[in-house]
Amino acid sequence: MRIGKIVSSRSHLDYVCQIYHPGEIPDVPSPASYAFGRFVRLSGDAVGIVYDSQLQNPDFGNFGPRLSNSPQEIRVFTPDLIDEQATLVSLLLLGRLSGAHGIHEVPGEVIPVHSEVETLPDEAFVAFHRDEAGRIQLRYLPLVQAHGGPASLSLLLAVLDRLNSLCPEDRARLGVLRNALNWQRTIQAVKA
Amino acid sequence: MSQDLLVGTVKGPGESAQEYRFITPDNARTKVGEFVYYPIQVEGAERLILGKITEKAIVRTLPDAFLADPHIPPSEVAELIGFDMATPELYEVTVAIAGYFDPRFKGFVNPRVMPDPGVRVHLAGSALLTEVLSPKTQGALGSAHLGSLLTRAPGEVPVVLDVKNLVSTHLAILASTGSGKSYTAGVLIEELLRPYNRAAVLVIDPHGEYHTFREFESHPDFEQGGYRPRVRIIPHDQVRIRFSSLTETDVRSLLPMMSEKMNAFLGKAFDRVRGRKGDGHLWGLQDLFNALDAMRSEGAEDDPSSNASTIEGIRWRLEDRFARSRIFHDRDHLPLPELFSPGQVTVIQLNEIDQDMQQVIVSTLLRRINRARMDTKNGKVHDGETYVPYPVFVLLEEAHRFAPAGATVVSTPILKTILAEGRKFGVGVGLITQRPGKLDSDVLSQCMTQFIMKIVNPLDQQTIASSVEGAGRDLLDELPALTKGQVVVAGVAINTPVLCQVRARLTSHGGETIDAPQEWLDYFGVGQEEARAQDAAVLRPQAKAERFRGYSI
Repeated sequence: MRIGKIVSSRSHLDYVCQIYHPGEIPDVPSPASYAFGRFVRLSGDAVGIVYDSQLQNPDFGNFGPRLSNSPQEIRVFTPDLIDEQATLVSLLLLGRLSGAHGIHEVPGEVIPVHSEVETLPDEAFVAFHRDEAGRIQLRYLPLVQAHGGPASLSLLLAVLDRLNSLCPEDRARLGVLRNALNWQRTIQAVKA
Repeated sequence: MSQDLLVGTVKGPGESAQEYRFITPDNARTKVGEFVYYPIQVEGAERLILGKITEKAIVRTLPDAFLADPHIPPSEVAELIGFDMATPELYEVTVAIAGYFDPRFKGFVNPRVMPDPGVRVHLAGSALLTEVLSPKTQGALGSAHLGSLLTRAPGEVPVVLDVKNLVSTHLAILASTGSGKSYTAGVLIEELLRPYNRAAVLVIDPHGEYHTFREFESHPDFEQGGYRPRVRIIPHDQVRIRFSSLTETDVRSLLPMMSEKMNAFLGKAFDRVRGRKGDGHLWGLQDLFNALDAMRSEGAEDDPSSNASTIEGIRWRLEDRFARSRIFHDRDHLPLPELFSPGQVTVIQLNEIDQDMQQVIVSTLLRRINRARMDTKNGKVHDGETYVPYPVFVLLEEAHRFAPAGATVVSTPILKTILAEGRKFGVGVGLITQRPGKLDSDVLSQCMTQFIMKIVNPLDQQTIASSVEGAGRDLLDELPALTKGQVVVAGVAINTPVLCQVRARLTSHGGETIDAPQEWLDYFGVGQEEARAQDAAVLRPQAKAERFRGYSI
């Protein structure tokens, strides 16, 4: 499902996606499709994760003449006014899909502006987390910890929870890692 | 050298000036006690500076959290996040430098040049270690094959001692009970009796553990040409000490509760008997009694009975202790040429003899052999009982009985004398004890070769640390962890201290621990209860014969 397009980037790994508004595409994405921790595909086979979001409203603080404060009513009263409000989500690139397995690495190519971003279905999500031999992998973990911001551990725990439910055969291994990260996120933070 | 395994890279100096540290991923080969080397140029020649690994610490490993689930190997968790190194751990290894082996000095020379960081460290090859660790080659004249280097495969690097240094500068075998002291001593005696040594050995055996030496006489490994070792076992009931070989101190040590006056009379009597008979002449208990009787009225002419009670008291004590003893005799004793002969091991069994009596027996024997060797060496005697024209070696089990710490017993002075001067006259002593802390520290420090086995007691460890020069801190740390048959060998009989696995005995070991559960089980074995019942049965009186029709029934 398409959720938006790339509009900006902060680094080679960190891209900004503007979520489609009603009217831009027939099926407007629901907030759940670009939620925190959602995996996305962009520019073909590149895979990223939603790790942050931002709302843009240029009218905030503008106390000019308005017939209404409601966006729906404004469209009625001033149909020629350009709607400049936007929902932006930050994407961290984690690697790429290569057939039935994922390659967790820093992508070499730059993702072009206006590249479409779409959600990664469960099958592709699992495929991205398998290596060539079919074993579960999270090789991007250090990358997320370094670039995922203050919520990076929560982000990883969300991924592990999803993997846990989709790959029950690997629960034991994933459990050790999950416990380690959970301890780091909560207990270590309290101790510090 | 190029074939020797490369194990690490030098990081820098260690805590002391004789230590360096290197980094290695190899946990299996870098064991504590193992030998490694680095090459350097000394005076234009490449030298391999050998050192012994003393400590090992891990400096990099997987997070503890990865070890949380014992069912999941940490490597699998690491692999999950993309870490797939086969050996993620890195170790920092501390090495105590021994130096390079100089064949001219037959020892290690430390050039005191620290390796630069980045220098490569090799595991010393077995051929190199065989060449430099042991002063002798296996089977050579004057060699004693004790076992092999503990850190290598059995037999890969033989540990071969120099018998000349071993016996002339004395040795000590120190270990807790059950760690293999008498087994190790048995191996040493075997080596001393091998055709390439043919030593004259006396073993003082307070527990009767060395009777298995009889197997020497028929074992093919001890036979060469016309040589075959002789074994003489002297059981406790055949031990004889000639009364005249006792000193006044010996006698006094065996007499209970002697007053000052009694001691004075006894001393005077001794002086008189000695003065009359002269040194080295036969005299007996009766001579001492005669001398005592003559003193009954001396110094108290007005009251002839004033000394009588004292003299009687001494006589009573002497009679009680010596007249009834089978050990002390006016004429008989154990002749030195029968006790000591090249290619012969004599075992004197002192089990069932009181400890104070054992001390007197040992003191007498040591005094006699020391005197005999001095006189022989100085050319004072040329034949007879005191002529011993070859070096001898005496092994003392339970040595702390004969030179206890903090007390002087009758055997202490002669033991100290032999340990200090015996080398000059060819009297070597081997001390075996399970309580180094209870052994006189002067005595222990005179033993120049040490065999140290498992010791847990901190006091004993401390004694070893303070009395044994060759045992380094690193080796002492190993003592509690040693298992049966593993021994730290240090001192003059080996080029550098080593951890050794004692070889298997050629003859059987007589000091086995009693199998108590098996013996208890045997108590209830088939026929055992019946036999006990028969033994305990009361004899019924035989019925009186009756006559029936003229016949006796």
